[in-house]
Amino acid sequence: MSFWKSLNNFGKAVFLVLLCIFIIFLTQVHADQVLRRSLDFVTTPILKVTSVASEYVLGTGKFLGGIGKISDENRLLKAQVAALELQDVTLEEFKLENQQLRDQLGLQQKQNFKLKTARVIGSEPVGNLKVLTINAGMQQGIAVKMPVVVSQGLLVGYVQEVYDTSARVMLLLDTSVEMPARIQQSRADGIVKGQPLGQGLSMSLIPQDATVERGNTVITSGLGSTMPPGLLIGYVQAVNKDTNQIFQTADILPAVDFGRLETVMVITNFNPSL
Amino acid sequence: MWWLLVITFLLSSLQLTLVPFVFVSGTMIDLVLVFVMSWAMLKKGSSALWLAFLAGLVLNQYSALHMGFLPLFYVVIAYLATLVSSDMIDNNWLLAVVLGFTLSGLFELLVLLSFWFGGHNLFTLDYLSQIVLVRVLLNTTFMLLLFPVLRALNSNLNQRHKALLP
Repeated sequence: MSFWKSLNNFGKAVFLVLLCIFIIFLTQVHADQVLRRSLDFVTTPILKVTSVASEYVLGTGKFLGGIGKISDENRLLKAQVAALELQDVTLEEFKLENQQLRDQLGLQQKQNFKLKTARVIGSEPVGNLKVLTINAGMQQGIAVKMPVVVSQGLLVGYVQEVYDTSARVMLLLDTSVEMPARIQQSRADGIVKGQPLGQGLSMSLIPQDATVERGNTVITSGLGSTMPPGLLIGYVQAVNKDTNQIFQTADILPAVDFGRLETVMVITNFNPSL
Repeated sequence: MWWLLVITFLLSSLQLTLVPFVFVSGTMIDLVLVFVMSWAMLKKGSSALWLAFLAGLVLNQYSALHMGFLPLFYVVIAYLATLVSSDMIDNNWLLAVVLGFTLSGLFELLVLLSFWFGGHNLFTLDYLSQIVLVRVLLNTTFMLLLFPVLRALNSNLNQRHKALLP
């Protein structure tokens, strides 16, 4: 303590800078786990509380701002419910028919995912990287590279780092993520990547002869075994075809609203190839 | 020093849980940076440096940045902010806002550089103009609101402290 008091402001700043450089060095030699675990132990419970409080504040603000629109929205929702009920009946028919055909062909049912639900408790504080923190970690069976989804099949991203009670999720929107994908209608394969300003996704390396149209569905292809096949990524918004190029590209509208993620699910029974 | 820890956790929590959902497309204010800069300009002492270090450490835990970079950047910015004499700011508090703009820009460049070293190339004209510049302007605007409040609070507390002295 007397050492600290004997330093002037410059000395104190130099001391803290050296401490930071020491932490950077620890991270470089992968010896920062004790520090990270301690921080996780102290900060995650606080973040769990503040994320609930923040959600309440945001929800109240949204509610107060939308009071005037409630009756219009109610009418619209009633119409949507009626349409969905009709759709539900049709889907039930398809399901039964599908089951019968599968039985006849002897095909196995698609793998059922084991899901672990987690709350989003934090977002990347600086820069524009697309990273989220969830309140489930090693203790809840979460491991690195596990796929993260919403609504059982809409791809959000994958687990990048795991701590005892929290995990960091790299979103599909980030420019560093490259996801093997497939156009559902034409079965053409390509690679989906985040756009630099975080304003959507783009799909590249689509063969020039493949038919790609606006509104087509983009799903994970499962190539490379990094992700299970068939998870929904988004919809084709625009196709960029240049006959001089070997491949065509497409702008993809993500199926997930990444700006409003509150709860996600981690697929815990899929073993990705690392 | 308990109040320093309270402020650290309060600011970091708000930065992590509330701010990203209020602002869109990455153009969000840096609550911690604005507070650290304002605090450093007003208080001068080591409390601003500790606040910068601790808040940076907490935020770094939830960031994709290499561990240690964020506290380093916040400490550097806090130290630079303490170099400005309080008399200069008392005479013209707009100077604090100009300094806020400059230091905020420096901080963003340091973050960009560290992302670049980490393999994320974000040095594009679009990114600089649509994300970084907007964020610096937002930080400066927020500082315009926060700095006078903190300054008034600081002088009020100083007067009370003096009145209590024998």
